[in-house]
Amino acid sequence: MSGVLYVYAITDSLAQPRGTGLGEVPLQRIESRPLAGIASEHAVPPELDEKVLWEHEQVVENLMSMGAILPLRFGSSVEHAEALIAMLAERREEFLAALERVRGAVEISVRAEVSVDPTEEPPPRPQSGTAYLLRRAEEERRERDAAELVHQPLAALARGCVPPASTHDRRQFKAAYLVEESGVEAFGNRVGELNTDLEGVRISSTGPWPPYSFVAGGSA
Amino acid sequence: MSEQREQMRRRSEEAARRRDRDRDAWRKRNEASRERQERGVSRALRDRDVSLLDLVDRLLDGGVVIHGDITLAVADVDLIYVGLRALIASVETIERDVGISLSASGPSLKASAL
Repeated sequence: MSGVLYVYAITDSLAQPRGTGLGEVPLQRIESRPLAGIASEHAVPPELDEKVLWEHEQVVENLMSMGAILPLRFGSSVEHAEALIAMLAERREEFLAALERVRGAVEISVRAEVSVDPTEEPPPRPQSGTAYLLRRAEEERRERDAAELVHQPLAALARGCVPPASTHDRRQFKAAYLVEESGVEAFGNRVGELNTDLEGVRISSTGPWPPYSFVAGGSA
Repeated sequence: MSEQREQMRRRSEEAARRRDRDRDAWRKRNEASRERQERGVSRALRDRDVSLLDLVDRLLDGGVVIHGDITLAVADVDLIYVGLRALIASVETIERDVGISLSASGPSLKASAL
């Protein structure tokens, strides 16, 4: 065995891949029409560290200029091109549907932290178990409401969201939004506005990312 | 197979040396990022200097998964763990440098509000 084919993405674009793979190894198109896998050949699989993660990310981002792509999970490798071709053929319908879902869109990651309002009086020490439970329920309701106040306006600007609506009930809100390329700026502005408008909620967002969170079905 | 393992071990050691070097670069970038924040420049969507956690979420938890006998060979598993330890060490460095903290229940950004 001469090595492994390290696979970055699946596409239905006919364009040649831009840039190089990890370690500046040339990229190959491995076709199973109408799909193609984009890969580079290595003697051993790349090791996992933060430098190589960023390098992988850069390779995938360069590929986004080809058209719609489905990024593979880090570390996906096959022993030879035939294995990749067989996989592309076997899961063709799944990949074609996913490519349609993400075409023309990018992923934005949003995290929000709901904190107690520092200006608010600290609640009195609960006198009973019931009082404690009531207070805890009230806190949970407020956290849930705050999460929805972050989620709803952003979901309105997005094509899809993972996890889907109404599952954000934790103090630590984390979601990925699939946003039209042309809508990225507006989305970012909305995040900024929410950060200003929502008291006790701190929002951070990163992106645009390749659509890592939207490669599987049922996310719209 | 053992020869391949040995080769991987050597590569891991090389990677560790590279990381020490890269860490300085990281620190500089993080400092630059913090300075921008202190100057009051909002953290734009494109600003991914401190987005390692989001990167890890995506690359290791997202993306198309290829199943079965064509995924990583058993020998590679060791390598992944060596790398993960190094990655966690890196995250701890960032945590110290830029004030991102990791909760016990999972990663969360705590000090990089937009």
